[in-house]
Amino acid sequence: MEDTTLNNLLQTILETSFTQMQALARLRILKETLMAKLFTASLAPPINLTPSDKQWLDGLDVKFLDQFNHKNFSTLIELSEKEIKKMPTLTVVLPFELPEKEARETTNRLRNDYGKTFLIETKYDRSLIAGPALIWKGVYKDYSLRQKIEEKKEKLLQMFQSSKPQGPNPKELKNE
Amino acid sequence: MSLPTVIFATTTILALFLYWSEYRRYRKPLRDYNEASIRETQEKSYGLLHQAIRKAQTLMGAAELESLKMVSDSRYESRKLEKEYEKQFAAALTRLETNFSNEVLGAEKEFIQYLADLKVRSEQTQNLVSDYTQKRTVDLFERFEQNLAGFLTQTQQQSTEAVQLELKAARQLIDTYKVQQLALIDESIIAMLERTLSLVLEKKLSLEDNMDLVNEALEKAKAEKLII
Repeated sequence: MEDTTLNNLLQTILETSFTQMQALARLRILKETLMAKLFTASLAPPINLTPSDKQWLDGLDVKFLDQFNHKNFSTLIELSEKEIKKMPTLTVVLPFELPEKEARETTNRLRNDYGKTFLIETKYDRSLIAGPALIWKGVYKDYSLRQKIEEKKEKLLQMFQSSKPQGPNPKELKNE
Repeated sequence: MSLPTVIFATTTILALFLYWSEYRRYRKPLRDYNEASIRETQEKSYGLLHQAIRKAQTLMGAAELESLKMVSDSRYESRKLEKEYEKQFAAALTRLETNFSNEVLGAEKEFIQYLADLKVRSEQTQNLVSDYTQKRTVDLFERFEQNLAGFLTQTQQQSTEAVQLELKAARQLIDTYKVQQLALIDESIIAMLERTLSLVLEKKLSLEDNMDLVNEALEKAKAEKLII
C-alpha cells in the first residue's frame, strides 16, 4: 500500500518537475501543505510560492492528499526525497538561463530516451559563449563554442597571422 | 842592617879573632913563661887590643864617615838620578808627545786621505748603482710593457668572448621572450575572440538558436553514449 502511495507521490511530483531542484522544492511544498492539513486542520498553502508551484498545488487531487495520514506522512516524504536524490540527473551547463518551458521540453525528450524518472540540473556559465556542457555521473563533456575555439585555436591563430597587414620592410628602410 | 853597623861588627869580630889567635898562640907558652913575660905579653896584648880598638874605632869612624859619605852620595846620586830621571822623563814625554802628535797628524792625514778615497769610491759606486738601477728600470719597463701588451691582448680577447657570449645569451633570451610574448599575444587574441563572441552572441543568438545548440549537443552525447 505504501509502495503504491510512494509511486503515486513520485509520479505526481515528476509529472510537473523536470529538474531535481524543482522536484525537491515541490516535495517540500507538499510536505508543508500536508503538515498544515494533518496537524493544524488547515488547507492554507505555504507562503512564497511561484505561480507555477501554486498552480501545481491547486491542481493536486484531494484523493491524492487523502492518502497521507499521521502515520505514513513523514516516512513517505523521506522515502520520496531519497528516491528523488537517487534519480539519474544530467547536469546541463548553459551560458543562459533555461526557461521552464524549454526545461520541460528538454527533460521530456530525455525521458523518452532514458526513462520516466530522468531529471536534469541546470547551471550557468557565461564563459561557454554558446552551446552547453554536460556532466553525467562525474564525467564532464564540453560541447560549447568555447571548446570548439580551443580545439581550433592553432588554425584560428594561423588565420589571424595570415590576415595581418604587412608592415614596412626593414631592408628597404635600411637602403633608404 | 846598615853599612856602618856591618863595618863595626866586622871590625869587632876581626879584633876579637886577632886577640883570640894571639891568645892561643901565646897560651901554651904562658905556663912556661915567667910572670914578666906573662905581663909583657899581657901588656902587648893590651896594647894590641888597644890598637885594635883604636883601629876599630878608626875604622868605625871611617866606616861611619864612609857610610855618611855613602848616604850623602847616595842621596846626591838619587837626587841627581831623580833629576836625570825627570829630565829623561820630560824628554821622553816630549818625545812621546811629539811622536804622538806626529802620529796623530799622520793618522789624521791618512784618515782624511781614506775619507777622500772613500768619497771617490762611494761616488764611483753610486754612479755604478745609478747606472745599474737605470738599466734595470729600463729593462723592467720594457718587460712590463711587453707583459702589459700581452695581458691587454688576452683581456681584450676574453672580453670579446665574454661579450659575444653575453650577446648570444641575450639573443636567446630575446628569442625566448619573443616566443613567450607571441604565445601570450596568441592567448590574448583567443581570449579577445572569446570575449567578443560572448558579448555579441549573447545579444544576437535567440532562444531558439540556443536550444538548437543544446539539442544538437544532446544528440551528440547520445551518439557518443555519454549518458548510460
